[in-house]
Amino acid sequence: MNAFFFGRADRSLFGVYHPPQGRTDRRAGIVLCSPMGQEYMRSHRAFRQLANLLSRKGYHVLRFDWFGTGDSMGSSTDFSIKASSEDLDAAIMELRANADLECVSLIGLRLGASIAAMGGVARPDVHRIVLWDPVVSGPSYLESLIGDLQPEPEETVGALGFPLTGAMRSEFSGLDLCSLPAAPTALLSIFVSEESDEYKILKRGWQGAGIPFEYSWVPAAGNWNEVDNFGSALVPQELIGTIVASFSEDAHE
Amino acid sequence: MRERVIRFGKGVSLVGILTDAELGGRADSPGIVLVNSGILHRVGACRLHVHLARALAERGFSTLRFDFSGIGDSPVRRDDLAFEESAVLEIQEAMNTLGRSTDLKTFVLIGLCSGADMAFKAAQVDARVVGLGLLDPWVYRTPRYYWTRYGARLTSASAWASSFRSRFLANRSREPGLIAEADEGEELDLPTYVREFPPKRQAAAELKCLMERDLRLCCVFSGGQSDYYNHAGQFGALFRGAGVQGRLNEIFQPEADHIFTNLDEQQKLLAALLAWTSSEFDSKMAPLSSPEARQAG
Repeated sequence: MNAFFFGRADRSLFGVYHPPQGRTDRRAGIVLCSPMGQEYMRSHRAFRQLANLLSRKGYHVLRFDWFGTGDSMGSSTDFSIKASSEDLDAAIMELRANADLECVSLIGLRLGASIAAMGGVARPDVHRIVLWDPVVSGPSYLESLIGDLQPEPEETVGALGFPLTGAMRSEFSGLDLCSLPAAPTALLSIFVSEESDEYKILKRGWQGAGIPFEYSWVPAAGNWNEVDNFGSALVPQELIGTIVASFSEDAHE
Repeated sequence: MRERVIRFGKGVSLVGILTDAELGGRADSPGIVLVNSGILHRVGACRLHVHLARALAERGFSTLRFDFSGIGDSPVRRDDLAFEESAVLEIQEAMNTLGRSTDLKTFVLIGLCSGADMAFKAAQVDARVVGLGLLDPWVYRTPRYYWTRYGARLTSASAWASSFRSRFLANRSREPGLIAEADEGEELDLPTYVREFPPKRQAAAELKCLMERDLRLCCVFSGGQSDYYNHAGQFGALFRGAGVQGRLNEIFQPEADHIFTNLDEQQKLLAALLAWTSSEFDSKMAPLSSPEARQAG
Protein backbone atom coordinates (compact mmCIF):
# COMPACT_ATOMS: atom_id res chain seq x y z
CA MET A 1 0.00 0.00 0.00
CA ASN A 2 1.04 3.55 -0.61
CA ALA A 3 -0.10 6.39 1.65
CA PHE A 4 0.06 9.92 0.26
CA PHE A 5 -1.61 13.30 0.01
CA PHE A 6 -3.38 14.30 -3.17
CA GLY A 7 -5.77 16.89 -4.57
CA ARG A 8 -5.69 20.66 -4.60
CA ALA A 9 -2.99 22.31 -2.50
CA ASP A 10 -5.60 24.18 -0.47
CA ARG A 11 -7.75 21.07 -0.11
CA SER A 12 -5.15 18.37 0.35
CA LEU A 13 -6.59 14.91 1.02
CA PHE A 14 -5.00 11.89 2.67
CA GLY A 15 -5.30 8.67 0.72
CA VAL A 16 -4.03 5.10 0.78
CA TYR A 17 -3.64 3.27 -2.51
CA HIS A 18 -3.71 -0.54 -2.47
CA PRO A 19 -2.41 -1.99 -5.74
CA PRO A 20 -3.63 -5.39 -6.93
CA GLN A 21 -1.92 -8.22 -5.06
CA GLY A 22 -0.77 -11.45 -6.60
CA ARG A 23 -0.96 -12.31 -10.26
CA THR A 24 -4.35 -10.88 -11.11
CA ASP A 25 -4.83 -7.30 -12.22
CA ARG A 26 -8.48 -6.88 -13.15
CA ARG A 27 -7.83 -3.43 -14.60
CA ALA A 28 -10.63 -2.18 -12.38
CA GLY A 29 -10.56 0.27 -9.49
CA ILE A 30 -12.61 0.91 -6.37
CA VAL A 31 -12.75 4.11 -4.32
CA LEU A 32 -13.76 3.66 -0.68
CA CYS A 33 -15.79 6.51 0.83
CA SER A 34 -15.62 6.80 4.63
CA PRO A 35 -18.32 7.90 7.02
CA MET A 36 -17.69 10.90 9.26
CA GLY A 37 -17.28 11.63 12.95
CA GLN A 38 -17.16 8.74 15.39
CA GLU A 39 -18.40 6.44 12.61
CA TYR A 40 -15.18 7.20 10.73
CA MET A 41 -13.09 6.28 13.78
CA ARG A 42 -15.01 3.09 14.32
CA SER A 43 -14.80 1.95 10.69
CA HIS A 44 -11.15 2.67 9.94
CA ARG A 45 -10.06 -0.90 10.57
CA ALA A 46 -12.96 -2.34 8.56
CA PHE A 47 -12.00 -0.13 5.61
CA ARG A 48 -8.39 -1.24 5.79
CA GLN A 49 -9.49 -4.84 5.74
CA LEU A 50 -11.96 -4.26 2.90
CA ALA A 51 -9.23 -2.57 0.86
CA ASN A 52 -6.79 -5.42 1.54
CA LEU A 53 -9.28 -8.08 0.52
CA LEU A 54 -10.29 -6.26 -2.66
CA SER A 55 -6.67 -5.70 -3.65
CA ARG A 56 -6.07 -9.42 -3.18
CA LYS A 57 -8.87 -10.01 -5.67
CA GLY A 58 -6.95 -7.96 -8.21
CA TYR A 59 -8.55 -4.53 -7.78
CA HIS A 60 -6.83 -1.16 -7.54
CA VAL A 61 -8.25 0.39 -4.36
CA LEU A 62 -8.07 3.91 -3.00
CA ARG A 63 -9.41 4.81 0.42
CA PHE A 64 -9.24 8.43 1.51
CA ASP A 65 -10.32 10.95 4.14
CA TRP A 66 -12.75 13.73 3.25
CA PHE A 67 -11.55 17.30 3.75
CA GLY A 68 -11.88 18.15 7.45
CA THR A 69 -11.73 14.48 8.51
CA GLY A 70 -8.98 12.03 9.46
CA ASP A 71 -5.53 13.04 8.23
CA SER A 72 -6.82 15.27 5.44
CA MET A 73 -6.39 19.00 5.69
CA GLY A 74 -9.08 21.13 7.22
CA SER A 75 -10.58 21.54 10.63
CA SER A 76 -13.33 19.17 11.74
CA THR A 77 -15.78 22.06 11.38
CA ASP A 78 -14.90 22.37 7.67
CA PHE A 79 -16.61 19.15 6.58
CA SER A 80 -19.42 19.73 4.12
CA ILE A 81 -21.50 17.33 2.02
CA LYS A 82 -21.60 19.76 -0.88
CA ALA A 83 -17.85 20.35 -0.89
CA SER A 84 -17.10 16.65 -0.44
CA SER A 85 -18.41 16.00 -3.94
CA GLU A 86 -15.26 17.81 -5.04
CA ASP A 87 -13.23 15.40 -2.87
CA LEU A 88 -15.01 12.47 -4.48
CA ASP A 89 -14.11 13.82 -7.89
CA ALA A 90 -10.47 14.27 -6.84
CA ALA A 91 -10.31 10.71 -5.46
CA ILE A 92 -11.83 9.17 -8.58
CA MET A 93 -9.47 11.10 -10.83
CA GLU A 94 -6.50 10.20 -8.62
CA LEU A 95 -7.21 6.47 -8.79
CA ARG A 96 -7.93 6.58 -12.51
CA ALA A 97 -4.67 8.43 -13.17
CA ASN A 98 -2.62 6.26 -10.80
CA ALA A 99 -3.84 2.97 -12.21
CA ASP A 100 -4.59 4.15 -15.74
CA LEU A 101 -8.28 3.21 -15.58
CA GLU A 102 -11.23 4.40 -17.64
CA CYS A 103 -13.73 4.02 -14.83
CA VAL A 104 -14.02 2.94 -11.20
CA SER A 105 -16.57 1.68 -8.69
CA LEU A 106 -17.38 3.28 -5.35
CA ILE A 107 -18.05 1.70 -1.97
CA GLY A 108 -19.42 4.04 0.69
CA LEU A 109 -20.34 3.43 4.31
CA ARG A 110 -23.04 5.45 6.13
CA LEU A 111 -22.72 9.12 5.10
CA GLY A 112 -19.90 8.13 2.75
CA ALA A 113 -22.41 5.94 0.89
CA SER A 114 -24.86 8.80 0.57
CA ILE A 115 -22.19 11.17 -0.75
CA ALA A 116 -20.97 8.51 -3.20
CA ALA A 117 -24.51 7.94 -4.47
CA MET A 118 -25.31 11.63 -4.82
CA GLY A 119 -22.00 12.46 -6.49
CA GLY A 120 -21.34 9.34 -8.51
CA VAL A 121 -24.70 8.07 -9.69
CA ALA A 122 -24.61 9.71 -13.09
CA ARG A 123 -20.87 9.91 -13.70
CA PRO A 124 -19.80 8.17 -16.88
CA ASP A 125 -16.59 7.02 -15.17
CA VAL A 126 -18.41 5.30 -12.28
CA HIS A 127 -19.42 1.74 -13.06
CA ARG A 128 -21.00 0.64 -9.80
CA ILE A 129 -21.82 2.11 -6.39
CA VAL A 130 -22.06 -0.03 -3.26
CA LEU A 131 -24.02 1.58 -0.44
CA TRP A 132 -23.13 -0.05 2.88
CA ASP A 133 -25.54 0.82 5.71
CA PRO A 134 -26.21 4.15 3.95
CA VAL A 135 -27.65 7.22 5.62
CA VAL A 136 -31.05 7.50 3.94
CA SER A 137 -32.70 10.38 5.77
CA GLY A 138 -30.67 13.38 6.89
CA PRO A 139 -33.10 14.37 9.66
CA SER A 140 -33.03 10.83 11.10
CA TYR A 141 -29.25 10.83 10.93
CA LEU A 142 -29.15 14.16 12.75
CA GLU A 143 -31.44 12.80 15.42
CA SER A 144 -29.12 9.83 15.89
CA LEU A 145 -26.24 12.25 16.41
CA ILE A 146 -27.76 14.85 18.74
CA GLY A 147 -31.13 13.48 19.79
CA ASP A 148 -33.85 16.08 20.13
CA LEU A 149 -31.43 18.92 20.83
CA GLN A 150 -32.50 22.09 19.04
CA PRO A 151 -29.41 24.30 18.87
CA GLU A 152 -29.39 27.83 17.55
CA PRO A 153 -28.53 27.90 13.82
CA GLU A 154 -25.06 29.35 14.38
CA GLU A 155 -24.29 27.11 17.34
CA THR A 156 -21.76 24.27 17.06
CA VAL A 157 -22.65 21.25 19.14
CA GLY A 158 -20.84 18.02 19.85
CA ALA A 159 -21.83 14.73 18.25
CA LEU A 160 -19.99 11.87 19.97
CA GLY A 161 -16.77 13.84 20.11
CA PHE A 162 -16.97 15.67 16.80
CA PRO A 163 -18.29 19.16 16.07
CA LEU A 164 -21.55 19.59 14.25
CA THR A 165 -21.89 23.13 12.94
CA GLY A 166 -25.09 24.86 11.95
CA ALA A 167 -24.03 24.60 8.30
CA MET A 168 -23.55 20.84 8.64
CA ARG A 169 -26.94 20.41 10.32
CA SER A 170 -28.56 22.44 7.59
CA GLU A 171 -26.97 20.25 4.92
CA PHE A 172 -27.83 17.03 6.72
CA SER A 173 -31.45 18.12 7.11
CA GLY A 174 -31.82 18.29 3.37
CA LEU A 175 -30.36 14.84 2.69
CA ASP A 176 -32.80 12.32 1.23
CA LEU A 177 -31.27 9.33 -0.50
CA CYS A 178 -34.65 8.35 -1.93
CA SER A 179 -34.34 11.32 -4.28
CA LEU A 180 -31.25 10.89 -6.38
CA PRO A 181 -30.05 13.99 -8.24
CA ALA A 182 -30.07 12.30 -11.64
CA ALA A 183 -31.12 9.13 -13.39
CA PRO A 184 -28.48 6.54 -12.49
CA THR A 185 -26.02 5.30 -15.02
CA ALA A 186 -24.07 3.34 -12.40
CA LEU A 187 -25.21 0.01 -10.98
CA LEU A 188 -26.50 0.47 -7.45
CA SER A 189 -26.02 -2.19 -4.77
CA ILE A 190 -27.25 -1.79 -1.22
CA PHE A 191 -25.82 -3.90 1.62
CA VAL A 192 -27.40 -3.49 5.03
CA SER A 193 -26.57 -5.09 8.36
CA GLU A 194 -30.08 -4.60 9.66
CA GLU A 195 -33.30 -4.28 7.71
CA SER A 196 -34.64 -1.14 9.35
CA ASP A 197 -37.71 0.88 8.35
CA GLU A 198 -35.34 3.39 6.77
CA TYR A 199 -34.12 0.83 4.27
CA LYS A 200 -37.64 -0.36 3.51
CA ILE A 201 -38.50 3.25 2.67
CA LEU A 202 -35.43 3.50 0.45
CA LYS A 203 -36.36 0.31 -1.41
CA ARG A 204 -39.93 1.50 -1.94
CA GLY A 205 -38.72 4.94 -3.02
CA TRP A 206 -36.31 3.65 -5.62
CA GLN A 207 -38.72 0.98 -6.86
CA GLY A 208 -41.39 3.68 -7.24
CA ALA A 209 -38.99 5.87 -9.20
CA GLY A 210 -38.01 2.98 -11.45
CA ILE A 211 -34.41 2.98 -10.24
CA PRO A 212 -32.79 -0.43 -10.67
CA PHE A 213 -30.75 -1.68 -7.72
CA GLU A 214 -29.59 -4.80 -5.91
CA TYR A 215 -30.37 -5.20 -2.23
CA SER A 216 -28.69 -7.53 0.26
CA TRP A 217 -29.40 -7.90 3.93
CA VAL A 218 -26.46 -9.51 5.72
CA PRO A 219 -27.17 -9.69 9.46
CA ALA A 220 -24.08 -8.24 11.13
CA ALA A 221 -23.00 -5.66 13.66
CA GLY A 222 -23.98 -2.26 12.35
CA ASN A 223 -23.84 -0.03 15.40
CA TRP A 224 -21.46 2.44 13.80
CA ASN A 225 -22.78 5.43 15.65
CA GLU A 226 -21.51 4.51 19.09
CA VAL A 227 -18.66 5.44 21.32
CA ASP A 228 -17.31 3.60 24.31
CA ASN A 229 -14.68 4.41 26.86
CA PHE A 230 -11.82 3.12 24.73
CA GLY A 231 -12.87 3.86 21.16
CA SER A 232 -13.24 0.31 19.89
CA ALA A 233 -13.54 -0.72 16.24
CA LEU A 234 -16.28 -2.53 14.39
CA VAL A 235 -15.25 -5.11 11.79
CA PRO A 236 -18.30 -7.04 10.54
CA GLN A 237 -16.50 -9.85 8.77
CA GLU A 238 -19.44 -11.46 7.09
CA LEU A 239 -20.72 -8.28 5.52
CA ILE A 240 -17.26 -7.28 4.34
CA GLY A 241 -16.85 -10.74 2.84
CA THR A 242 -20.18 -10.47 1.05
CA ILE A 243 -19.26 -7.13 -0.49
CA VAL A 244 -15.89 -8.48 -1.64
CA ALA A 245 -17.54 -11.58 -3.10
CA SER A 246 -20.01 -9.39 -5.01
CA PHE A 247 -17.07 -7.69 -6.69
CA SER A 248 -15.43 -11.00 -7.51
CA GLU A 249 -18.59 -11.93 -9.36
CA ASP A 250 -18.76 -8.56 -11.07
CA ALA A 251 -18.51 -9.01 -14.82
CA HIS A 252 -16.98 -5.59 -15.36
CA GLU A 253 -13.23 -6.15 -15.40
CA MET B 1 0.67 23.91 7.13
CA ARG B 2 2.91 21.24 5.65
CA GLU B 3 2.26 17.57 6.34
CA ARG B 4 4.01 14.58 4.78
CA VAL B 5 3.45 10.88 4.90
CA ILE B 6 6.49 9.09 6.34
CA ARG B 7 7.25 5.37 6.13
CA PHE B 8 9.86 4.22 8.58
CA GLY B 9 11.03 1.38 10.83
CA LYS B 10 13.36 -1.58 10.53
CA GLY B 11 11.13 -4.44 11.63
CA VAL B 12 8.15 -3.28 9.63
CA SER B 13 7.25 -0.24 7.54
CA LEU B 14 5.30 2.01 9.91
CA VAL B 15 3.03 4.78 8.66
CA GLY B 16 3.23 8.26 10.11
CA ILE B 17 2.36 11.85 9.30
CA LEU B 18 5.00 14.49 9.91
CA THR B 19 3.72 17.98 10.54
CA ASP B 20 6.54 20.45 9.95
CA ALA B 21 7.00 23.34 12.33
CA GLU B 22 5.89 26.57 10.72
CA LEU B 23 8.53 29.23 10.14
CA GLY B 24 11.13 26.49 10.24
CA GLY B 25 10.83 25.84 13.96
CA ARG B 26 13.67 26.24 16.42
CA ALA B 27 16.73 24.05 16.47
CA ASP B 28 16.66 23.84 20.27
CA SER B 29 13.01 22.82 20.50
CA PRO B 30 12.16 19.15 20.96
CA GLY B 31 10.24 17.21 18.35
CA ILE B 32 6.89 15.88 19.46
CA VAL B 33 5.79 12.26 18.94
CA LEU B 34 2.11 11.41 19.38
CA VAL B 35 1.56 7.83 20.46
CA ASN B 36 -1.44 5.59 19.61
CA SER B 37 -4.05 4.93 22.25
CA GLY B 38 -5.50 1.42 22.18
CA ILE B 39 -6.61 0.54 18.67
CA LEU B 40 -7.36 4.13 17.68
CA HIS B 41 -5.27 5.01 14.65
CA ARG B 42 -2.87 7.91 14.54
CA VAL B 43 -5.50 10.67 14.20
CA GLY B 44 -6.19 10.09 17.90
CA ALA B 45 -9.42 9.96 19.85
CA CYS B 46 -11.89 12.39 18.27
CA ARG B 47 -9.08 13.49 15.88
CA LEU B 48 -7.24 15.13 18.77
CA HIS B 49 -3.77 14.20 17.48
CA VAL B 50 -4.44 15.99 14.20
CA HIS B 51 -5.59 19.16 15.93
CA LEU B 52 -2.74 18.97 18.42
CA ALA B 53 -0.06 18.36 15.75
CA ARG B 54 -1.23 21.32 13.68
CA ALA B 55 -1.50 23.64 16.68
CA LEU B 56 1.98 22.60 17.83
CA ALA B 57 3.34 23.26 14.33
CA GLU B 58 1.96 26.80 14.49
CA ARG B 59 3.95 27.23 17.69
CA GLY B 60 7.18 26.00 16.12
CA PHE B 61 7.16 22.31 17.04
CA SER B 62 7.54 19.55 14.45
CA THR B 63 5.31 16.61 15.25
CA LEU B 64 5.08 13.00 14.14
CA ARG B 65 1.90 11.01 14.66
CA PHE B 66 2.21 7.38 13.65
CA ASP B 67 0.68 3.93 13.93
CA PHE B 68 2.25 1.13 15.92
CA SER B 69 2.61 -2.12 13.98
CA GLY B 70 -0.77 -3.78 13.64
CA ILE B 71 -2.64 -0.53 14.42
CA GLY B 72 -4.15 1.88 11.87
CA ASP B 73 -2.29 1.63 8.58
CA SER B 74 0.91 -0.02 9.84
CA PRO B 75 1.32 -3.72 9.04
CA VAL B 76 1.68 -6.44 11.63
CA ARG B 77 5.20 -7.32 12.80
CA ARG B 78 6.53 -10.73 11.87
CA ASP B 79 8.73 -11.17 14.93
CA ASP B 80 7.68 -12.43 18.35
CA LEU B 81 8.10 -9.21 20.27
CA ALA B 82 5.46 -8.49 22.90
CA PHE B 83 3.50 -5.29 22.33
CA GLU B 84 5.27 -3.53 25.22
CA GLU B 85 8.64 -4.27 23.59
CA SER B 86 7.73 -3.47 20.00
CA ALA B 87 5.94 -0.28 21.02
CA VAL B 88 9.05 1.06 22.74
CA LEU B 89 11.23 0.15 19.75
CA GLU B 90 8.78 1.79 17.39
CA ILE B 91 8.61 4.98 19.46
CA GLN B 92 12.41 5.10 19.28
CA GLU B 93 12.26 4.60 15.52
CA ALA B 94 9.73 7.43 15.34
CA MET B 95 12.17 9.67 17.22
CA ASN B 96 15.00 8.63 14.89
CA THR B 97 12.87 9.47 11.87
CA LEU B 98 11.65 12.79 13.23
CA GLY B 99 15.22 13.61 14.23
CA ARG B 100 16.59 12.83 10.78
CA SER B 101 13.86 14.84 9.06
CA THR B 102 14.15 17.90 11.25
CA ASP B 103 17.63 17.74 12.78
CA LEU B 104 16.09 17.77 16.24
CA LYS B 105 17.90 15.97 19.04
CA THR B 106 15.36 15.78 21.86
CA PHE B 107 11.73 14.71 21.99
CA VAL B 108 8.48 14.97 23.90
CA LEU B 109 6.12 12.00 23.84
CA ILE B 110 2.37 12.48 24.26
CA GLY B 111 -0.12 9.63 24.62
CA LEU B 112 -3.43 8.63 26.14
CA CYS B 113 -4.03 5.50 28.25
CA SER B 114 -1.94 2.67 26.71
CA GLY B 115 -0.19 5.41 24.72
CA ALA B 116 0.80 7.04 28.01
CA ASP B 117 2.05 3.69 29.32
CA MET B 118 4.21 3.10 26.24
CA ALA B 119 5.51 6.68 26.21
CA PHE B 120 6.60 6.27 29.83
CA LYS B 121 8.36 2.99 29.02
CA ALA B 122 10.16 4.58 26.08
CA ALA B 123 11.33 7.47 28.24
CA GLN B 124 12.87 4.94 30.64
CA VAL B 125 15.23 3.63 28.03
CA ASP B 126 15.87 6.66 25.83
CA ALA B 127 17.53 9.76 27.22
CA ARG B 128 16.47 11.83 24.22
CA VAL B 129 13.01 12.05 25.79
CA VAL B 130 12.88 15.34 27.69
CA GLY B 131 9.16 15.55 28.24
CA LEU B 132 6.11 13.37 28.66
CA GLY B 133 2.51 14.41 28.15
CA LEU B 134 0.54 11.59 29.76
CA LEU B 135 -3.24 11.51 29.46
CA ASP B 136 -4.87 9.21 32.01
CA PRO B 137 -1.62 7.49 32.97
CA TRP B 138 -1.38 4.93 35.76
CA VAL B 139 -2.16 6.32 39.17
CA TYR B 140 -2.99 4.87 42.56
CA ARG B 141 -5.65 5.47 45.15
CA THR B 142 -4.60 7.39 48.21
CA PRO B 143 -6.30 7.92 51.60
CA ARG B 144 -7.54 11.24 50.28
CA TYR B 145 -8.94 9.46 47.22
CA TYR B 146 -11.08 7.29 49.50
CA TRP B 147 -12.06 10.28 51.60
CA THR B 148 -13.08 12.22 48.49
CA ARG B 149 -15.05 9.29 47.20
CA TYR B 150 -16.66 7.96 50.31
CA GLY B 151 -16.19 10.66 52.92
CA ALA B 152 -19.73 11.96 52.79
CA ARG B 153 -21.12 8.44 53.08
CA LEU B 154 -19.00 7.15 55.96
CA THR B 155 -21.70 7.67 58.52
CA SER B 156 -24.29 5.71 56.55
CA ALA B 157 -24.58 2.02 57.50
CA SER B 158 -26.29 1.12 54.24
CA ALA B 159 -23.50 2.74 52.26
CA TRP B 160 -20.93 0.59 54.07
CA ALA B 161 -22.88 -2.56 53.27
CA SER B 162 -23.21 -1.56 49.64
CA SER B 163 -19.51 -0.80 49.39
CA PHE B 164 -18.62 -4.14 50.94
CA ARG B 165 -20.74 -6.00 48.42
CA SER B 166 -19.32 -4.01 45.53
CA ARG B 167 -15.76 -4.90 46.45
CA PHE B 168 -16.56 -8.56 46.22
CA LEU B 169 -18.46 -8.21 42.98
CA ALA B 170 -16.04 -5.87 41.25
CA ASN B 171 -13.70 -7.04 38.51
CA ARG B 172 -9.98 -6.82 39.00
CA SER B 173 -8.42 -3.49 38.21
CA ARG B 174 -7.58 -4.51 34.69
CA GLU B 175 -8.81 -2.62 31.70
CA PRO B 176 -8.86 -3.99 28.20
CA GLY B 177 -6.55 -1.63 26.37
CA LEU B 178 -6.90 -3.17 22.96
CA ILE B 179 -10.17 -4.75 21.96
CA ALA B 180 -11.20 -6.23 18.65
CA GLU B 181 -14.82 -7.08 18.18
CA ALA B 182 -14.17 -9.74 15.62
CA ASP B 183 -11.49 -12.14 14.54
CA GLU B 184 -9.82 -10.45 11.62
CA GLY B 185 -7.56 -13.20 10.45
CA GLU B 186 -3.82 -13.43 10.77
CA GLU B 187 -2.91 -10.48 8.63
CA LEU B 188 -4.87 -7.99 10.68
CA ASP B 189 -4.18 -9.43 14.11
CA LEU B 190 -4.19 -6.76 16.76
CA PRO B 191 -1.36 -6.46 19.24
CA THR B 192 -2.34 -7.81 22.62
CA TYR B 193 -2.14 -5.47 25.56
CA VAL B 194 -4.02 -5.72 28.81
CA ARG B 195 -3.54 -2.58 30.80
CA GLU B 196 -2.31 -3.31 34.27
CA PHE B 197 -0.74 -0.64 36.43
CA PRO B 198 2.80 -1.42 37.55
CA PRO B 199 3.38 -1.88 41.30
CA LYS B 200 3.39 1.53 42.93
CA ARG B 201 6.93 1.13 44.28
CA GLN B 202 8.23 0.30 40.81
CA ALA B 203 6.36 3.24 39.28
CA ALA B 204 7.83 5.58 41.88
CA ALA B 205 11.37 4.32 41.29
CA GLU B 206 11.06 4.68 37.53
CA LEU B 207 9.55 8.13 37.88
CA LYS B 208 12.40 9.15 40.17
CA CYS B 209 14.94 8.15 37.51
CA LEU B 210 13.18 10.36 34.99
CA MET B 211 13.02 13.28 37.40
CA GLU B 212 16.75 12.93 38.05
CA ARG B 213 17.17 13.43 34.30
CA ASP B 214 15.17 16.64 34.71
CA LEU B 215 12.42 15.34 32.44
CA ARG B 216 9.29 17.48 32.39
CA LEU B 217 5.95 15.85 32.94
CA CYS B 218 2.41 16.88 32.15
CA CYS B 219 -0.25 14.52 33.51
CA VAL B 220 -3.86 15.08 32.55
CA PHE B 221 -6.54 13.06 34.31
CA SER B 222 -10.07 12.79 33.01
CA GLY B 223 -13.22 11.91 34.91
CA GLY B 224 -13.08 8.66 32.94
CA GLN B 225 -10.38 7.43 35.29
CA SER B 226 -12.36 8.17 38.43
CA ASP B 227 -11.87 4.62 39.72
CA TYR B 228 -8.31 5.65 40.48
CA TYR B 229 -8.13 9.42 40.46
CA ASN B 230 -10.61 11.91 41.85
CA HIS B 231 -8.93 15.10 43.04
CA ALA B 232 -6.44 17.59 41.67
CA GLY B 233 -2.93 17.05 42.93
CA GLN B 234 -3.36 13.34 43.68
CA PHE B 235 -0.53 12.25 41.37
CA GLY B 236 1.90 14.85 42.69
CA ALA B 237 1.10 13.96 46.28
CA LEU B 238 1.62 10.28 45.54
CA PHE B 239 5.04 10.80 44.01
CA ARG B 240 6.39 13.70 46.03
CA GLY B 241 9.31 11.50 47.00
CA ALA B 242 10.20 10.94 43.34
CA GLY B 243 11.15 14.57 42.93
CA VAL B 244 8.26 15.70 40.78
CA GLN B 245 8.04 19.13 42.40
CA GLY B 246 8.68 21.81 39.84
CA ARG B 247 8.76 19.32 37.00
CA LEU B 248 5.16 18.20 37.04
CA ASN B 249 2.17 19.98 35.58
CA GLU B 250 -0.87 18.08 36.84
CA ILE B 251 -4.30 18.80 35.40
CA PHE B 252 -7.66 17.34 36.38
CA GLN B 253 -10.60 17.49 33.95
CA PRO B 254 -13.36 15.82 35.97
CA GLU B 255 -16.02 16.58 33.37
CA ALA B 256 -14.11 14.83 30.58
CA ASP B 257 -14.54 11.17 29.73
CA HIS B 258 -11.59 8.93 28.94
CA ILE B 259 -11.46 9.78 25.22
CA PHE B 260 -12.49 13.43 25.64
CA THR B 261 -15.68 13.39 23.60
CA ASN B 262 -16.93 16.69 25.05
CA LEU B 263 -15.88 19.54 22.75
CA ASP B 264 -15.22 21.99 25.60
CA GLU B 265 -13.05 19.42 27.35
CA GLN B 266 -11.15 18.84 24.10
CA GLN B 267 -10.41 22.55 23.92
CA LYS B 268 -9.26 22.59 27.54
CA LEU B 269 -7.00 19.63 26.89
CA LEU B 270 -5.47 21.16 23.78
CA ALA B 271 -4.97 24.48 25.53
CA ALA B 272 -3.32 22.77 28.49
CA LEU B 273 -0.93 20.73 26.33
CA LEU B 274 -0.04 23.73 24.16
CA ALA B 275 0.57 25.92 27.20
CA TRP B 276 2.73 23.22 28.77
CA THR B 277 4.86 22.59 25.68
CA SER B 278 5.28 26.30 25.07
CA SER B 279 6.25 27.10 28.64
CA GLU B 280 8.60 24.16 29.09
CA PHE B 281 10.18 23.81 25.68
CA ASP B 282 9.75 27.04 23.78
CA SER B 283 13.40 27.80 24.30
CA LYS B 284 16.24 25.76 25.68
CA MET B 285 14.98 23.96 28.75
CA ALA B 286 15.36 26.33 31.65
CA PRO B 287 16.89 25.17 34.90
CA LEU B 288 14.47 24.74 37.78
CA SER B 289 14.67 28.36 38.77
CA SER B 290 11.02 29.09 39.25
CA PRO B 291 9.15 25.99 40.27
CA GLU B 292 6.45 28.11 41.81
CA ALA B 293 5.51 29.14 38.28
CA ARG B 294 4.40 25.62 37.58
CA GLN B 295 1.49 23.86 39.08
CA ALA B 296 3.14 20.96 40.82
CA GLY B 297 1.69 18.36 43.11
